[in-house]
Amino acid sequence: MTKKSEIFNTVYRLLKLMHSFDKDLIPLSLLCAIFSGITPYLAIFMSGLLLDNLHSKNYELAFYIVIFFSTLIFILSYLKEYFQKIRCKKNNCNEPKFAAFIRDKMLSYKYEKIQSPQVYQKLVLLERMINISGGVDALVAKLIIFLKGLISSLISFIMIIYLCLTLPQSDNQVLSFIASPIVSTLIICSFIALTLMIIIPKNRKFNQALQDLLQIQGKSELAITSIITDILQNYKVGATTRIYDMGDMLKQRLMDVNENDIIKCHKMFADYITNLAVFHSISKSAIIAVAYFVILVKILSNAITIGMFTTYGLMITFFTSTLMDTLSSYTTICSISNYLKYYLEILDWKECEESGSIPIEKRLDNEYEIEFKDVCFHYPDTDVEVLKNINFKLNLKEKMAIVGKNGAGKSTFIHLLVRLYKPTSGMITLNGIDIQKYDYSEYISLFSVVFQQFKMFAFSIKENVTTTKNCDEKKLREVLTQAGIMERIDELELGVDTFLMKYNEDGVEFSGGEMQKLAIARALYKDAPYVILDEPTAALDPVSEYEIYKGFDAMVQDKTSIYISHRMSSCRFCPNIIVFDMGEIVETGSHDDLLKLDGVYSTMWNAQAQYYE
Amino acid sequence: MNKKNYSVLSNLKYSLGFFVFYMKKSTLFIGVMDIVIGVAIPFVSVFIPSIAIYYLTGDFDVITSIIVIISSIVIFQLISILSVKLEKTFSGKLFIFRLHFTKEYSDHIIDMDYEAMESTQGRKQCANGLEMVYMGNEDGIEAYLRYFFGVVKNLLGLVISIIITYTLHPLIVVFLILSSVGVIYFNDQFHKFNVENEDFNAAYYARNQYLEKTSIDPKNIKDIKLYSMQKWIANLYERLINDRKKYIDIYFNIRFKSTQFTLVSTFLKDIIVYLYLIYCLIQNTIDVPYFIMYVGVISTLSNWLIEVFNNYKEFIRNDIVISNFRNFKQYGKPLKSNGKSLLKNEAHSITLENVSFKYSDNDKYSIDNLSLEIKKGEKLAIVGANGAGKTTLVKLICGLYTPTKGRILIDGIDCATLCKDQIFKEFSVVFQDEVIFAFDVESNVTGNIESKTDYIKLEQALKQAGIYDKIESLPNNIKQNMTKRIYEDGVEFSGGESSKLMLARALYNDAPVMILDEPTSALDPIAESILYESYNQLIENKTSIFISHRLSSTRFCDRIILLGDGAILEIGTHEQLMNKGGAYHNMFDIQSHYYKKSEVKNND
Repeated sequence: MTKKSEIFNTVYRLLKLMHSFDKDLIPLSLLCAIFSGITPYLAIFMSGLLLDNLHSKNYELAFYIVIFFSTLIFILSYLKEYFQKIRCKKNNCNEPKFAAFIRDKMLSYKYEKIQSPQVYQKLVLLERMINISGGVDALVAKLIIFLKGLISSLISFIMIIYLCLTLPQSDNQVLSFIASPIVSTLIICSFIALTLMIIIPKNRKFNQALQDLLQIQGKSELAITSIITDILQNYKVGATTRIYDMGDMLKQRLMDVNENDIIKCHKMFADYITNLAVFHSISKSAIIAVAYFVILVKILSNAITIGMFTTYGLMITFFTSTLMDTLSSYTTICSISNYLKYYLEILDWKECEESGSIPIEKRLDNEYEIEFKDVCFHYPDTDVEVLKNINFKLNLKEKMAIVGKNGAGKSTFIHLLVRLYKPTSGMITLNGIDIQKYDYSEYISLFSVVFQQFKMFAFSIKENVTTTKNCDEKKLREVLTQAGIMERIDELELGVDTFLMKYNEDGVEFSGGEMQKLAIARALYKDAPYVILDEPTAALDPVSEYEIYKGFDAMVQDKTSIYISHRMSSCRFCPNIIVFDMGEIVETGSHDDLLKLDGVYSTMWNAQAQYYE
Repeated sequence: MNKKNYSVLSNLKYSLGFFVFYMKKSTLFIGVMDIVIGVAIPFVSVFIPSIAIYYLTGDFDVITSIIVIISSIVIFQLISILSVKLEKTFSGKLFIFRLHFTKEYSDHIIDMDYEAMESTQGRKQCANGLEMVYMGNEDGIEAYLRYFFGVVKNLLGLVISIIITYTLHPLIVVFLILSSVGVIYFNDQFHKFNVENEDFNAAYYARNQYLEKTSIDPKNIKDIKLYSMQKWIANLYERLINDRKKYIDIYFNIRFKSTQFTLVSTFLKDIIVYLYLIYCLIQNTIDVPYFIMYVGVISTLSNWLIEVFNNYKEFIRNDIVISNFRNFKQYGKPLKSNGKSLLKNEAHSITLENVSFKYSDNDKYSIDNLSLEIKKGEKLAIVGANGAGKTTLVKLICGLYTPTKGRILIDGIDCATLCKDQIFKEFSVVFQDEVIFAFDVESNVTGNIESKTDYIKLEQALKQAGIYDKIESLPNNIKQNMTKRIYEDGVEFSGGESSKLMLARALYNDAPVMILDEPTSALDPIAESILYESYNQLIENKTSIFISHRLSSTRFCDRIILLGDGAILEIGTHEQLMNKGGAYHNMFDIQSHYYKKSEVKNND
């Protein structure tokens, strides 16, 4: 269980954040709490007053009481509902802002941190928890209940004290003794205190158990979600699962997760909840029974009027349920803030913000010189050196090719170049200055990269290629034509406004090759001085491949370009071919030079060329 | 697909039948008890103050009064505790039932034929089916049964409170029902609004969820960072919120309307009922204890009535979900058959006779009147431009799709007469999309439950695919969990490694026909060359189809077909097609251009 100060701190910061999104929400919430705290007491007072007057046959006054209280209840309830309406409206639009906010923040962090699956998993789990148990909106709703509970409890408490202080006027000694202020106060207050003393630690224990259970449950929820949404609902996977008759395995796995983990968990969960509710109910009943006893004695000893039986009776019933609500809202506040804490944690990753502040000198001639100096690198979670002592200067405005076997370090080389990772030792410089010292977004603007596993998103083609909302239509058409995909898009009803993928009803599913062309168009649209293509044509047919290369040559004339390809033919005319092997640059030179060397390059070339002779 | 309408009664029978099947019969008894106690409580609570006032105002001695009143309070409290216990237990049981019921959903989708499932209609059906079990406590079979019990409970309460109120004055009953009708009408308006906007809402949640997942998926981060998409994503969220604002405004306004009416009608009802009761007191037709009882009963009456309708509405809303689910259960053809396969487990000949195929949501034929004969043990290569229909053709051959026109025969047996699972058994296919499951390596390759793994064959397949060493190097070898989606220690394979794993899956499956769709696009030249060299050995005694953009691969195939716009443009051996000097020749030239030993000038 987290400390109180920590919970307070989490709630405070989240409210502050909410306040920065919308200034009206906190005042509105306060109004809601106050009105809902007070209104129920009007009905409680009315019933007693009415009964007393009816009992003493004071019908005219009874008439006015009915009119007065009904009107007052109507007005207050109306106001409460009105504020509640405005609050809900604002609140509902506010909720996605939290998701947007954290993404904006997260995406400004270093790649190394945010690409980690643990970070992703934690955030997914957090958002799943928010979906199940509610986010900041639920927190605020519970805070309102909590505050309302405090207000109501205070009123009830004053009433209880008032009840206790009334003096008995009876001949019956026993009744008078019990109804005397000191004894009745002692009975009620000690009993309430006793119940609270039992209930609060018990509540905490229950809550802890629930939290633990939710932790386990989260894991199995992830497993079943993965099977249902990633496999069963995913039509792309469906072909494989059917051809290989994986049905039995999938059923077995679902069975394991569902019956053994999820249902077991939820059974325990349901038991906990039932037990907690029963326990609350028993505590409530005990307080009510004792309170009624005191009220009864007070009435019988003539300390209060008969009508007060209903007033105090209703009050005590209301008080006990408010008390339980307040207590459980407190536990919910604790448990919600317990996971929302992670949201704040992410916001606090100051050390992950991209470093560097030097602006990039804008050069029309694209003269940006990059050099690798003794660069070594291993990925954070392993100590296998992926790159060893790389010393290399990128020649300006040249076509360059990188070749090597799978896992030779080619892609890693690119990752370091575009600052996705930082060298473990050594340095990469741009015009003589360490690249880490440059402003990140300015530095990144120097590169157009098509990654091996590039991604496109389920939005319009236009937005995918331009990656912004505002776009230069002429340039867009130009790059789409260059990438050889314009014709296909023009065939579509909505043209460049067509949505990719079938997430949308009218979305269009493009083939792998077509997607690749779009990715290339996106790189062309960015129009950066460095163009890097990591296996850009793997999914393309020979003719499209040829056309793309031809088009690219024209496009990158004034730029520095780097190709990575397993098709050796594509690098043949690069004046500069770098051969990677086991994380090192083993050969460099032109195609002819390298063939003469009879080393790694020539082996690779021959392996492929033999089939074309 | 014609949608069947199921009656409420039949849906109830269906749901209760499964409830009794998955849970114990005694759980139904808990539900019934919950109703009985749930109805009793409000009435008992009304009688207590009446009894108390009766004893307090009457001529009873102190001890009797205290004993009667306190014991009635204690009894009431005990019933309340019992009611809480029953209610929570029963709703817990309903929840557990929904979880059990998930099996009905997943089993059907697993056993559904591919074509049905892949089509737009099928995806919609599957999404509908999921609503039954996966959308939380307020949707699907759990909510359906809960609201059914809710309707019964409130109806019972309503009847009792009407009877009691009737003894006061029949007109009061009429008045109360009329005042509730308004509330029900506004609730209904609100409900209608919700139904009308269901699609809008679903689209909003889908978009929101997509954006939520996509923007932080580790696989997307590279592109997002390098193309500075951060601003774009922020903007997408802004648009999402703005679109939503209008809807939210109307939603709460309509809801407020119904609240407003409830407040007004409660106000009027209170005044009229109280005044009438005071009038009765003056007339001496009732006394104070009765006054209290009537106030209590009358205040519950409208509540019962409104709750009957609220529960009924949710019940009916979920009745549609049940009907949809039952339609989903009827949708698609089953894959499994009980009959013994007519096909012998050896290399097959495959014949396509005038096969045409179009996707159900498309009006253009993707495969157009195609005839082809693949001989037993033949090595066939398929080449062609992107979008020529290569993958569609493969999916037709291996039975995932059924021809729109024409027929496909395996060893002379018409595939239409065979069950899908019998056809599937004859094929090992490596599709273009890389399919790696969040299971361990072993399950990924065998695709079967652990007890059925043939470890010798598994090792052999991994070795043949050239991925054995990699897997040996993993901390848990073949038991290593894959992907980081669930497991923190899951391994992620590179593109080349994944291709090899897919190949291993096909080799382990060891079916008479092997189809490889672009298996080398992620492989480096050495690995590619090794695959080519070992290809003959891999497909020994099998019929095989090899699809590739690397035309070099066609050199070791017996026959090549060049596909264009869903039809065969050219067919023959490499030499034949080269001599023909057509499209294939042209394609080969373009690709082999730079590989030629002779000096070529870079004249592009």
